[in-house]
Amino acid sequence: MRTILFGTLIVLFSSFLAAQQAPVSESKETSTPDQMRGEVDAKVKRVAEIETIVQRMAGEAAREKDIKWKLCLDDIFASIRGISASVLSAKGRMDDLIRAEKADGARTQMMLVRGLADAAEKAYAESQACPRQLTRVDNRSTTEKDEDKKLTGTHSDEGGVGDAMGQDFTEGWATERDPNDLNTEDPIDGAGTDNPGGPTETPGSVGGEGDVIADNGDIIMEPPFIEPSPEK
Amino acid sequence: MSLSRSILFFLLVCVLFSGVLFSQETPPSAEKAPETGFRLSETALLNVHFSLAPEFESNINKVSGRSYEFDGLTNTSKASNEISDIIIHISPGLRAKIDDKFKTLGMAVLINYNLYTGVEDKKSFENLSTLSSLHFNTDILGEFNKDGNAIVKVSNNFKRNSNPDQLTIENGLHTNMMEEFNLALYLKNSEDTLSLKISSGIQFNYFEETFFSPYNFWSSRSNVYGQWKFLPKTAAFFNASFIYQDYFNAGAVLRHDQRSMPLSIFVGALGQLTPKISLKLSGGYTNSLSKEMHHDGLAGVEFIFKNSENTLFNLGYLRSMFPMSTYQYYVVDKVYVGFAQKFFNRLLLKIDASYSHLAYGKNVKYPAITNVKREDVTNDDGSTTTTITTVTQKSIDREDHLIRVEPMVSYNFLPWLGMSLSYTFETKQTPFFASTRIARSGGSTTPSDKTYVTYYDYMDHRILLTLAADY
Repeated sequence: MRTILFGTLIVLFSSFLAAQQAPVSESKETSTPDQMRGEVDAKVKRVAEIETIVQRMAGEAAREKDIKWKLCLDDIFASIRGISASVLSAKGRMDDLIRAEKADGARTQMMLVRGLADAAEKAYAESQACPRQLTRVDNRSTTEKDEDKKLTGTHSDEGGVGDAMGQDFTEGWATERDPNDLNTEDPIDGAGTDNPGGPTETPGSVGGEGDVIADNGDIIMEPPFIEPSPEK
Repeated sequence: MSLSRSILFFLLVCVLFSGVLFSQETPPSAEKAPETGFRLSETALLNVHFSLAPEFESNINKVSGRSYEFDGLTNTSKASNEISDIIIHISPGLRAKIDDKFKTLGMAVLINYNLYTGVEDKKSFENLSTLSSLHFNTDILGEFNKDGNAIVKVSNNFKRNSNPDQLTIENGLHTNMMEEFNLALYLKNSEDTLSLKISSGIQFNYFEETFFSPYNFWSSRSNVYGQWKFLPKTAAFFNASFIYQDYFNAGAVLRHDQRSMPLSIFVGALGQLTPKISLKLSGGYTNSLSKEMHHDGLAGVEFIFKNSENTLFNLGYLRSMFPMSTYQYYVVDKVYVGFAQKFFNRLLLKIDASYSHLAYGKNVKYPAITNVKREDVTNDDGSTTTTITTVTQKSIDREDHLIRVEPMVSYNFLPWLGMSLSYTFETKQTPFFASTRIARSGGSTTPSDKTYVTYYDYMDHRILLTLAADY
């Protein structure tokens, strides 16, 4: 029993010592000004990248009219913007201190940037976990409810009528891509039935369109009556 | 030569530009899946395209082996021959768009240089090299108020295209330019279940050769489309459209006679029946309000089987009517079938086949079986040269049968880089033929008497290998 108690005390004591030494080791940071600048620049870039990603997600939530998702993302985005501003401010202070040759102060600002970058990463992870509402309304699919899925057989959140008609079957294949297709969302989602004239094939489902010679002979308004020129 | 230099210069600019963009790119986020295109800003995206596609074609100008030319003075005839060649298609292109919640602004430019290599023999190379041509296809697009209930879409397409003469390769290429502008208004309810599209567009087609200027046209296309999406992937729709096509460079009488104005109205439903089966059904009425009024039915049926995003099978039939020069309109009955299978998200096997029956309207340019036109020209010396042109055709009515089969295999190494090999068999079968006899005599002109007999049936085999990069 005495041995166990003695062992426990040694472990606790060594832990206590280690804990006490941690700030000391940090304060003994020996990075050169160039190394500090490099590290802080990388952190600033990463925080800006996170800010862009979350902002894009918030935009997507707004487009999809997913209020629950958007509210969650808006809160996180506000935090990240604050972090981003603080990071830039700390970077500016660090640069000033390096110029004034106050190495300790500059290191403190670098530590601050590290902490803020960690906070940004944590906020980013939280943004990925933001819940989305079950009923989704967007441009591609209309109100999508569980009971509707039973009727329609809808098995995916993606796509609408065009998707059901196989219109996007080879989307994302380099050899099948129309080089002039700007990949914008079809506001009507009618799988080509909205074109003037009579009924047509569903675009993209049949034929070799999309390759480089799609227009070679198919689209030209060929005169039906090829007459020889008298001069020939 | 200057054209080749221009293409090389364009390619060089593309390579340099993409290099600059690569160097500007920030390191990709580990969490995000790779996307194609260079993101220039938060909302701006640039895509670069390049493809190189050598193609073997067995009958480059789709000539009939039965066509021939007969000289009445020497009593000799010269048959038309099928000419094969390898054509190299070189296609660089760019797409750029600014896309945000409220608007999309985009443009796309594709250049397609077709290099005829003249593999058949040296003589044909001398002829065929003149067929090498530069085509292009440009698009400009604008969508506004995208998150609202009233969306406005403006689009413009301008392209240049050409085809070798169907009678003889010595006549060279016929090149046309097509300009199309469209304006559309979309009205939708907040739930996106009811949509209305009102659109209007103008097309302008211009042949670069004066000889074909009578076929130049402009057309207006107005369309009203309504859709009720009663289930997420299923909708009912109606479509009403009116096309006015005017051949403004034809003579006054011919311009009036071949003016084509099809009115089409049809209703239908399309969408998913079960998780694997989708269907499209439509039917309606069309009327060509041209010189000859022609009432007809419209129909469209399409069956689609789609399994786990890897297998797609479709089978369809459609009956439709389109405007056309000389014959005013043509009615097409088409049966088509397609099958596509993906393997490992890298390999794609596809086969498409179709049969079309084309029935043309009344020929307003040559309304009789035999059409004779006499032209007297007074020369400087006071003499008169007489040219008699006689166009004889098999029948007033014309019907064509068109069959097309196209198997293809494609392998995509990366989402933006792939290679494909396709074979296309195409044949047109028609009993129709027309002969044109041009007899010239009188005055100081050397007498001539030539008859050109043109059949319109042909067979064509094409093998195309494509290397495509689209980033």
